[in-house]
Amino acid sequence: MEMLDANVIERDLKRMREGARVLREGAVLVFPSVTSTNDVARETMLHDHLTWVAVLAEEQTAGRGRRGRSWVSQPGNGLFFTYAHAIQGPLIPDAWPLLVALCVRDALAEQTAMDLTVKWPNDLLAGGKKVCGILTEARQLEDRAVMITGIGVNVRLDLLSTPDDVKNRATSFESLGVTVDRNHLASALIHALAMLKRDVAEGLRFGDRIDAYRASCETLGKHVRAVHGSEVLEGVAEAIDEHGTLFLRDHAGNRHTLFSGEIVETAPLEGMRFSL
Amino acid sequence: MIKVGDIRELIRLLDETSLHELQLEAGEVKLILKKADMAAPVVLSTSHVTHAAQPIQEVSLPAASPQPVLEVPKEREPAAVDPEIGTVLVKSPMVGTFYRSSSPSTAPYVDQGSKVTEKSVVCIVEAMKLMNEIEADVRGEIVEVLAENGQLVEFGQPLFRVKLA
Repeated sequence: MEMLDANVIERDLKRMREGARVLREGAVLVFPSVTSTNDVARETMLHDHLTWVAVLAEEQTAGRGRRGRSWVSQPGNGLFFTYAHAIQGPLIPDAWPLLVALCVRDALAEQTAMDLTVKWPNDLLAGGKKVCGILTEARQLEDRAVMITGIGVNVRLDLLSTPDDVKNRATSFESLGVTVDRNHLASALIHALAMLKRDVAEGLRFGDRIDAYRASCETLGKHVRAVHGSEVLEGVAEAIDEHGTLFLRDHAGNRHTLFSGEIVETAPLEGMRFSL
Repeated sequence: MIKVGDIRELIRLLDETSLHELQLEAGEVKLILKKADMAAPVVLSTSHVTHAAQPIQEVSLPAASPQPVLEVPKEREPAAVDPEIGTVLVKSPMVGTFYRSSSPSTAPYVDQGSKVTEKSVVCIVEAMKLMNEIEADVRGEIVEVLAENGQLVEFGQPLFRVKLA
């Protein structure tokens, strides 16, 4: 597999519609190995007054997913990528992670010609298995906020060193017969996220993309089990509103509102019921 | 007795932070400052009626809207030590899930007794898989943790009580 190369990414970016302008405002940093690209991007943004920074690494020694869960980061096998950007003024937490899911799905579709689905709130799946995870973090500073968007793409999975539980839930583009050029994907993601950032600053809200989200969301209409705070909920995922909130109807007919949390299992409506 | 200049300074400090409320006790005077958008007036109370003879009415506050109101209680307030005096609340800026640490296997960002500065991250509030790192915004000591790890919290819900340094 080709090595990550900041020069290749920048050259590629310059060829894109708004690429040259985007590149003037930020920086692309490539490392052989980091603890986590999110951590490096956060520190860079807290100490340097950049508009954005993209951090990539061949390897993460402490890559993580939601709530510190480790993200398998085999050297060279994935795209371990973080795009961090500054927002002037107060942070508006309006479903940015869900907008990012659509943005990344489109960038991946362009390169792989694969139609990925979204698991609420923002995992990307191929054939029901995860190929891309997104972890967003935010920090409100005195005069600005920093948004940190971490994206992990499974380009390859070394099956011998991949734990069984990961193999059961995750897949890679290579195992689906698709080759991904990581440098090209990185430049496409930087461009797409810069455009999304601009659109959000100009007033784009999740509600404007809700139809696209619903159409690609594989959670809607399914029987799901969700971990929400310290409780486990089970029921039918029946709606998503313009803020990205998921509404779950349990067996007793009660409606639950999920602002956060995670879907841990999904089954067709007429299929199996989970046993708690 | 708190000087008028001190109150002005406190109001200025409060304006510069995202805090909505500040409570302070100095001697027999209890001062509660609330931001105007919280629809509550600035209240200055003293524990002795006799203090009303002092030039409290002359207190002139910076242009704040609505105009602050001074209130002197007619009856003596209980002298019991109020553990809440001299402390401020760190509140949740959004609806979400409250986490005390960056992951289940790591130590909490802060605990009772932890010293914090304005920039200290004290917790995470997760909404839609966006992990919001919440800073203390004040300098002091955590005297109370007011929410449970993994609990759903509302906008404005108190998360910590901080004794100002």
